[in-house]
Amino acid sequence: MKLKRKSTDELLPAAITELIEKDFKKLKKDKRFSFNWDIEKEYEVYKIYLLSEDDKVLGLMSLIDIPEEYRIHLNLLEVSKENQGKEKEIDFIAGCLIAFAASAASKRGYYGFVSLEPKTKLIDLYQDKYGFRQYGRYLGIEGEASQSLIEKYLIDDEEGTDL
Amino acid sequence: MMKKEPTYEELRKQYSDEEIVESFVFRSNMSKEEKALADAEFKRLRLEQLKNMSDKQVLKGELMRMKLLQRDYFKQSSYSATYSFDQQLKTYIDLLKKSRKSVAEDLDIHPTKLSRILNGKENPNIDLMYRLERHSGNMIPATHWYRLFTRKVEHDIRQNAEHRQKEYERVKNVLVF
Repeated sequence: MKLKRKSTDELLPAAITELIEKDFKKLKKDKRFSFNWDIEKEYEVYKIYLLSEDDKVLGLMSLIDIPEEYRIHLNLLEVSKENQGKEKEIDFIAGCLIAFAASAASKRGYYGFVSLEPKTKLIDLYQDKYGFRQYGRYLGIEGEASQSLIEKYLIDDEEGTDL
Repeated sequence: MMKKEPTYEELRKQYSDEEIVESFVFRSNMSKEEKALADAEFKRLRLEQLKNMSDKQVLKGELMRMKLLQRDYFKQSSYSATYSFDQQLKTYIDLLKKSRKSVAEDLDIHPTKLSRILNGKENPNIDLMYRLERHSGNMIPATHWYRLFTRKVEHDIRQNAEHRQKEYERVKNVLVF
């Protein structure tokens, strides 16, 4: 996992795990997140955190598994308030979460295919930043692009070890 | 109490589009009818794309899957026979859809040697691990093959009580603490 402290460029060991009931309870009171994550409970919801601060969630992502179309749909993603915009403390949170979704889609035999529904004005940016392609109203990432994302954000070196 | 969720338009007052892309993916705001149409179109495009994947693309996808599953295995502490060197090599050869003889030729080893390794009768050496790395177009690193092998050796060392006892019996002047 390659999270980066912006002030020092230091790479920070992090992990992504699935939310459990007590996480949802804590999130309701957590002012660093603005979306109602309880709504996503019916799907797979994941959190990213630093190994040195495992009680502080830095980002959340909700995934819908659609096996009949060989894809995972990224339904909602939110980075914690202190890590949004110019003043963010830690970088690469969304990249790591999307790469994790691509990795899950690869392991499930979907050739790394992840879809999302973009705001029209953001289409080009999702394409440029993460390598998505347009599929009608949706964007999708797969194959080479998906692999590049996994290698960029999740794998530390050519030997396949995590940080 | 339910939180009031921010809209893209509200966030846009505070952040640039690039900053939004670095922090959010929004839930769908399509109507049921719009979503049904968009989903149908997407499904058609996706299935068409799957049908048009070349053998090479499929193989690359399968090798990536193999690599990621191996990484997950390395993070666990337990041993699984599915992830022994010989089983993973069998999986690799199956994915290639080549005969064992042809793979032995590719790897510059004798077919009998390959067969013995696949049947767990002979241990692989590091030369083979490097060759497998190269053969996979560097998709499966030599270190993965090495870890698969040593995890099994470690498991065998732990489990082989008979061998352990036999070797214990040959030792003299055992240190006593």
